[in-house]
Amino acid sequence: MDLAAAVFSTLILLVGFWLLIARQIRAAVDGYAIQSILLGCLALALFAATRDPDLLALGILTIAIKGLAIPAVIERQAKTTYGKRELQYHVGFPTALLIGAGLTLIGFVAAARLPYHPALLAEPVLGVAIAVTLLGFFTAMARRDAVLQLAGLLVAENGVILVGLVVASGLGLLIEFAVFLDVLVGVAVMGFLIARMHETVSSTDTSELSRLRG
Amino acid sequence: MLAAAIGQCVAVLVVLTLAPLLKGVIARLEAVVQSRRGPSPFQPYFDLAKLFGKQRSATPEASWVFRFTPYIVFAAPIAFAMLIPVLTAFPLSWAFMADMVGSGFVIGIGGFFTNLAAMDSASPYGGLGASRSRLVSSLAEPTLILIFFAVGYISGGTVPFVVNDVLHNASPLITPSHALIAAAFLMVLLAETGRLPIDNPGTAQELSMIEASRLFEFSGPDQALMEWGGWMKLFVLLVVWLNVLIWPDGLATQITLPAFAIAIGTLAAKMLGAAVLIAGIESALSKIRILRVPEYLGGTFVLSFLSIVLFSLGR
Repeated sequence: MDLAAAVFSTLILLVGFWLLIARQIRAAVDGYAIQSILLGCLALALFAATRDPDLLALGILTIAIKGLAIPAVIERQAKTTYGKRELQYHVGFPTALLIGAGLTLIGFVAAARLPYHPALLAEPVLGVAIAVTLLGFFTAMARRDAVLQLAGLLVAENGVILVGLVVASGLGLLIEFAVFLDVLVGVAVMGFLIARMHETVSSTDTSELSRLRG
Repeated sequence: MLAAAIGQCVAVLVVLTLAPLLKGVIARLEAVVQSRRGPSPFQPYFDLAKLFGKQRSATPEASWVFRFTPYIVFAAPIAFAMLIPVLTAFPLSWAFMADMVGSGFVIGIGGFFTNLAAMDSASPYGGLGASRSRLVSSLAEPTLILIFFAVGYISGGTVPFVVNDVLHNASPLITPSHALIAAAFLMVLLAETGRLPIDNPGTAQELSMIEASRLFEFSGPDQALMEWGGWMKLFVLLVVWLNVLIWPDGLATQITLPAFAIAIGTLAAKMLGAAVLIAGIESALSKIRILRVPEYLGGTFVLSFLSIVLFSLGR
């Protein structure tokens, strides 16, 4: 159990880094899907250890909604830019990797200082959770493409779910169900906005939006 | 004492004789993946025999550096092989001459002299290859140092034999931090030995080559020594990766004939696995642009950094 949790959380963290430097939009969305499936697997591994049905539902929902449905929605909505490469970004990739490493360290230090006594998962998993949240937000800041920013926010949300999994072994099925539906609706709306944006300025580069057009 | 010396000699001989075979097997496997028949796995031996029979020629402008470099490149991996557990799980007489950092210097001196010689011959390609290989090596350096730190931290020692022993008795063998460090080391190893995705060992295309341009000016026995040295460098670094980092089992625990035979067989089997892995990597990936090399090596840096962080929290 501990080994499975360690392996899954390490992979989740690595995928977080992969999203930070993914060049192709398709690669970033695929990375998000893989990360969500890993998160679901972690919940299922916890279910195998505790037999808590909430965790089973959480694992299956995570894989179904975040691993399959949301990437499919993004692919459908952002079809015009899906296969493209992002050419412009705010932070270069080696710098982004170093900042990401720093954020990971901050996550682990923060996890060590929280007044939290590990019941189900070991403390490093909490560190991974905080680090993934920070990495997701940083991805949203460092990239200029709207789809990649959306992927960054979704990674941050994965991190928050992981925090909930560590601290309270799931936030309760009702809350999580609501969160999943909200995220799905949010992604659909943002995907719609991205598609509209591409229609209007024929690009998904958000820095284009700072200029006024008459 | 005599037995230890014999054991040391056998280890060095194994490195000397199996390194060309490893190169041949990788080339053959890659040909098979590309639906070609490919050269015989023993082709590198024929190449060496041919080159040793040829005349040596050097530009009159070249200094002593150019003439001595092949011997240094050839000797560095042999000296390195004495510092690492090639066949035995216990340290042989030279094992404590240097730890991992020291053996990194030993293997690095070959690359240093290759670069000097490449500049020395005043061939334009030589200078190009030397500056490119410096780019790769200088970016790989921080990762290598972090890997040494991480290995020393995880196993409590940096002498390769000690690390091998600690990991041999560790349970579970594969932890996340350990897996990350092994992945980072493999990525740096591929970059340092001029394999894909950093450099394409199969071609000498002027615009993109790194390693091949440094060897352009060598001919005859000099070229044979340079190439043999390069193959041995790949071989001994893979030995470190296999025997020290990921798979510390199967080494001889005493100096007897059967124990050594088993150890050589195990090493050959591990090397075959590594050859399959490298052929797979080289068939799946294309060479990355030279300006993206910092991203690749930055990735290895992050992997080794995360390994240290995870390990320091995991205990």
